[in-house]
Amino acid sequence: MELNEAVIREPLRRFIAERSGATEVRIESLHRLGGGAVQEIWSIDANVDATPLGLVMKASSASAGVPDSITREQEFMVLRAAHTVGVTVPEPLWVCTDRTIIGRDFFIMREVKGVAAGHLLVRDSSLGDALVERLGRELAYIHSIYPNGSELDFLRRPQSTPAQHSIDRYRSWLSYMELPYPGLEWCLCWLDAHAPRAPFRLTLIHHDFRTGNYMVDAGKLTGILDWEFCEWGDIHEDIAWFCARCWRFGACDKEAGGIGSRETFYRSYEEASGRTIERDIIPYWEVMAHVRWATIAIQQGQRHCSGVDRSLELALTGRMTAELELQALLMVEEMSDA
Amino acid sequence: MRDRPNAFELLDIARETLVQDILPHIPSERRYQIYMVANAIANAEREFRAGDVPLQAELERLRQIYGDSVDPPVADRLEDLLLSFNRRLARDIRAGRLDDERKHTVQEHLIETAKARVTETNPKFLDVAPVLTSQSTD
Repeated sequence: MELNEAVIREPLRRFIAERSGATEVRIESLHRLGGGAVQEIWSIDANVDATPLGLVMKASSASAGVPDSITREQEFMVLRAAHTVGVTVPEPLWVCTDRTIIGRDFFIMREVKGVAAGHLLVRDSSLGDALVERLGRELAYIHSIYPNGSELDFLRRPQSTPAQHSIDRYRSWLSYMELPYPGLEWCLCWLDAHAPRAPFRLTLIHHDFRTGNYMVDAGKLTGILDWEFCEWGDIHEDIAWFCARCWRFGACDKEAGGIGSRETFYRSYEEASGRTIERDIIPYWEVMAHVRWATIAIQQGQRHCSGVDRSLELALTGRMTAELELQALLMVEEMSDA
Repeated sequence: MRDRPNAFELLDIARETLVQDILPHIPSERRYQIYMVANAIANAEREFRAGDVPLQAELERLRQIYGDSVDPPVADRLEDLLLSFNRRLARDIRAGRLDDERKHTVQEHLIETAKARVTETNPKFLDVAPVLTSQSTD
């Protein structure tokens, strides 16, 4: 069930007053924002001691979320760590794990302005390589966080290599699906046989860094969003996820997220991080990206079909499985012939 | 016999009305939802039009891979047959049980099958020349 505006209004007001230490807090408007098929995201226009304050609340879903998603408290901590190393994110303010307040876990961050919708951003020709350069730097900052001694110790780390870990995970998901997916099994076998053996350094990866998950206002990046899938992993997985065809929103010739050139993205990332992107391994991770998105798409379709979360958006996502699988199969075929 | 218009003629005019007559009156922030509804109708319509043809072709290819003898005895409906064949194929692929000779046929079959599904779910996807591994090994 969705959160009810009338029910959560007063508890939220009191929560904000308590955490901000303000004497007078008013809530001018409170409404659910679109997007967030899994979590609920709400806009809060508050007035704190006579100063307007734009806030956004992210609350856990009432039903079981997508597997792999971290808790709101953990997402809050990740956001804080990213904010500290200079990643452009909405500033995280307060987290609440007391379910007597609104019935769910939630956190509140400062509102950032702009557009996130991928299909709109790829049509804005003013963005181009300047935005791609900026995104390359942002990803480099994200990848400057390492597990040792980190307060993010709770994040999942691969039992084996990140590639093997992903393969095992998607296979186990597929085992529980209602239908068989021989095409995806085929790609997973190829991924298994070609898994990278080179040494790597475990790094914080965002795990959903792509067009549609960042906000742009007047041509400028205002925030990297949706940190709920992050974990310790291999930088190449994030880089390939951003560049994969499935996240170009139809602007297929712009290989960096449907926005600009792949090489610009790579160069800016390398300059900011001091690392070298292993270009030969990116196609491998792009196959993985399509397999991953396909297995998630199947699950989203199932969320709709099972009645857990009836929604047209989830239903249509389920129908995207075929093209994701086809893209992965074609890439595998091309690399097998080479 | 049923009357005309038939099912997909109805879906067709429903979608046309939605996009041409209703959409212009919808505030811009909700248009995305109208596009999703139109997309769902178009999806269903293409699946209707294709009927059993792609499924029969898929079954034919699966029979070539496995031969007739392995038909699961319980299955006589097309969907059930496809389901048991595909379960078996998925298991065989994961277990690495396909010999080299069959591998090529299987890969072609899987690509054909995925293309047939995409023809129904998103035919525009097939128009774009596949942007594959441009930066990989050349």
